[in-house]
Amino acid sequence: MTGITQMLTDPLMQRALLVALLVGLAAPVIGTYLVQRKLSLLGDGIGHVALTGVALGWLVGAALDVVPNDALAVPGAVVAAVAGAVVIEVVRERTRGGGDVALALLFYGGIAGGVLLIGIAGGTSANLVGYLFGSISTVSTSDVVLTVALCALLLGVGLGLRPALFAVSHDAEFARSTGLPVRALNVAIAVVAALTVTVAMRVVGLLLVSALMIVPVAVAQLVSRSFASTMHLAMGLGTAVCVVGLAVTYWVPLAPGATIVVLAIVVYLVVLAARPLFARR
Amino acid sequence: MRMSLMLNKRVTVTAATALLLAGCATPTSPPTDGTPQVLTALYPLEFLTQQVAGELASVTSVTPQGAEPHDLELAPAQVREIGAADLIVYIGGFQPALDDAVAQRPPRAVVDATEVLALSEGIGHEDEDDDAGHEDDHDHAHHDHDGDPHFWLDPTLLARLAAPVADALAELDPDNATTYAANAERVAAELSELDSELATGLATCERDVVVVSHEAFGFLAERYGLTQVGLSGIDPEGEPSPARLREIRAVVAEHDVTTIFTETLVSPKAAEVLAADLGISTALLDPVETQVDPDADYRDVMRSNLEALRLALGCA
Repeated sequence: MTGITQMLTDPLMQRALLVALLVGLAAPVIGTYLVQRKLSLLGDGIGHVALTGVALGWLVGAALDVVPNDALAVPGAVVAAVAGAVVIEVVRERTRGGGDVALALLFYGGIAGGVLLIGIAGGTSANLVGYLFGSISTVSTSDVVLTVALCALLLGVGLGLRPALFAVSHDAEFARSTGLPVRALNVAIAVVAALTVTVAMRVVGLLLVSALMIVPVAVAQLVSRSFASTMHLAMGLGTAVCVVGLAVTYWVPLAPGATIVVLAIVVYLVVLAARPLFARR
Repeated sequence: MRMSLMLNKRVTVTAATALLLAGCATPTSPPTDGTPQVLTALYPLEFLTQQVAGELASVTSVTPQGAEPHDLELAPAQVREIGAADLIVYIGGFQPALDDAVAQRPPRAVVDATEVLALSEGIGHEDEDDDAGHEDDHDHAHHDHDGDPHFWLDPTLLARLAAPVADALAELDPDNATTYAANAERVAAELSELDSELATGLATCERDVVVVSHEAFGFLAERYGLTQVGLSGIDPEGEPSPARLREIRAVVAEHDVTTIFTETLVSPKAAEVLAADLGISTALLDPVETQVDPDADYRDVMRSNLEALRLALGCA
């Protein structure tokens, strides 16, 4: 018991737990739409485009003599990620369901662009990673503020527009025939996903945020039938694995992001194995 | 114990280097303008080699200034440059891309710091190329920096590279052999003076625990009787676990640590967040992997490191 008190009174751990709770709750909301639209790898793709954005921001900052030179790195990442997400939507629309090809273009283009541009700027990719590196074990107070704002946006868009977004994700043709602004809604999901990844990767790391959007949803899909219950279950699971995984690494010296992701995947495997037992009832 | 091991090693290794040089130095393509073209793996080696070569050779670094040398990647143009160089001074096992390039396009002569300083048991992430002989007289204190390539943070080790570099340059350019030898002697003496400054400056301190963002300072710590505690291990990109941060919090409280050191190439965020929570300060401790400021050299950076350490450790 004293151990838990110790954990809960450690300010560093308080912030980390709060962020884990928020990200675990909000990331699966947007992830539910991504899984529905077969864009599960979007998070990773956005992460790579953000690298290009950092390099671009760096080059532009140097060219314009902005002080400090890297002031545009993070805005560059956000702009590139949002642009990449919009490009994905355009490619998907033009190629009728070519979502995975669009993702591949984003993914490889992002890596190559980043490496190339940072080379021109005279650095190596390690310099890029510094801007995008985040870890849930060292969350600052401003990170908490940023995360709260992001999660409010995510929950607002993801839950507030759920009927419309669900219709679009489920059957775009039907949604269009009912008069919904399909393209605007598609772009809205992509942009919110891009913002989530670029903001959260600096706080908790790319691995954690992109996995948390998808894995809890994958688990929830195994057991729930409706879209709404999948989303709610995924939110609960995301929160649980985040908080439990982080608490474990307070005692066992493991990388927290990786621990949380592995925990979520173990839950997936266990549910997958146990599902026939429930189905027989 | 360690010193005697190193001295023994040095005799055999110098001989081996000489053999290697004799083998490689057969003049196949003499440099166009007669000036030896020398490549170095990263800044500290560039500094040393430049000091030994003076104006007589062109010395450049393979790792761009300001870049993190651990994960160097080479363009084919650079690999070709390595093949065309007269001499490369590098650290075997530290930068895999460079190891491969040297193996595939060997320059005319090679000085491998890992070999010269018998660092192989302390370098690289696996001890695969250890010859069994090392293990017997292997002091346990030495394990402090297993896998740590940052030997140049002990100026006496950097100084010991001066003579082999001078020998290699003399092979390539026999006319200037005496100048290279004299330069090597001078820079070795300067480094040994720097060593005494560090030793004196850190001799009587209130504390001896140094909290750093990544464990790059094993050689410095061992040489001057300090203990380093790192937020992450030798790999600067490891994510610190909350458990590790908790340990560090305990170390800070126990030893009245006043400062968490950050460095130039690793994001200072973890250190800053932790220091703010603990109400202590952060300061820069430079592992001299790279040098961006053209007006400061290795010696200047080591002296500012000394000042930072003296302040943080409360040295008399």
